[in-house]
Amino acid sequence: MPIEKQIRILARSIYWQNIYRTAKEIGTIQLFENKTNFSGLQSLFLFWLNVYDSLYSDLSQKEWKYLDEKVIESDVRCDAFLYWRAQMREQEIIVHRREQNASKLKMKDKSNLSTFDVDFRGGN
Amino acid sequence: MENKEILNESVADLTKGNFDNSLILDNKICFMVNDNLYRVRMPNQGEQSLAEHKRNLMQLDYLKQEGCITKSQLIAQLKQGGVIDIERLEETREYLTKELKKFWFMLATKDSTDKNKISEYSEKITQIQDNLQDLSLDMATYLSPCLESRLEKFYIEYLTSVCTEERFNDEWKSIWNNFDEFIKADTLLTNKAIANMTWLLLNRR
Repeated sequence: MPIEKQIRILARSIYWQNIYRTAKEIGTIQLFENKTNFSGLQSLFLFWLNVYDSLYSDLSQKEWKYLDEKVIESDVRCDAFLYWRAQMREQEIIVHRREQNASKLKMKDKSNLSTFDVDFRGGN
Repeated sequence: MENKEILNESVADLTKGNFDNSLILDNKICFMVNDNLYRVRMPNQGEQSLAEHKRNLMQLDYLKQEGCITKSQLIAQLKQGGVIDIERLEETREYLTKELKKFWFMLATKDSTDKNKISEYSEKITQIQDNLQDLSLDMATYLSPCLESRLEKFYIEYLTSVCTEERFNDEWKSIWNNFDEFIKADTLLTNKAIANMTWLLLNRR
């Protein structure tokens, strides 16, 4: 079995997901024998631990219509979902920015501003 | 989830043979060659600095050699000689990546009950990913004589020569005393060690 596939199976296993969640909560659990100098495989594993943690969290909150256990268990479907989710989030950010810009423009609209006559020349 | 359920699921994982933690429990990878046990370990900072220093020296050496060619020069030469157009391959890679994203998008919006479409799109995605992998391998092969590829190869080989150990009388011992010994060693062993070192260093550089 390809190494990355093995790493993903490990990362989404209940055992490692539980350890990761607990480590996040108490912040003192050592995941590996080495504390520093992580190998590329360990870094990859940490990446997938985090990804699957976010997926299980989304799943429990029923955040996405198309996310279920079967999606998480299939690497191909999982990749597809992660790409789609990133696109959706990007879209949300764009919409949010547009709304913010629109509200700023409203503020700049002259009809919403008060004007005063100022005499810059001074004097009587 | 109840503790009992968690335990049951973990045991199920074990029985499925999915529970090989050895890949990630430490920063080493063990492997067997001819019934002997070997391992490659992550280089420490000193070893990495040494390898970088050796690579710089090697760069000076390569530059003096006849036929030394940089990546961009090689790309131009391959195109000029009508051997292969690497830029064209890059364009193909970009096109395939766009196709991949298109099918990811289509697959992601399919409900798990829609098995036909899921299987159709999944197959298509796997096929595109295989093509992308072949393309990358082709490009790497064509570009292997260039200075950058040779230096990268030397760096990995040097670290492998330093960080490969053999289990001997319950102890891990370095195999090669210097790089020359590594170059002359059995390729079955060195190739396996290099492959594992590449995995260890994945995403680290």
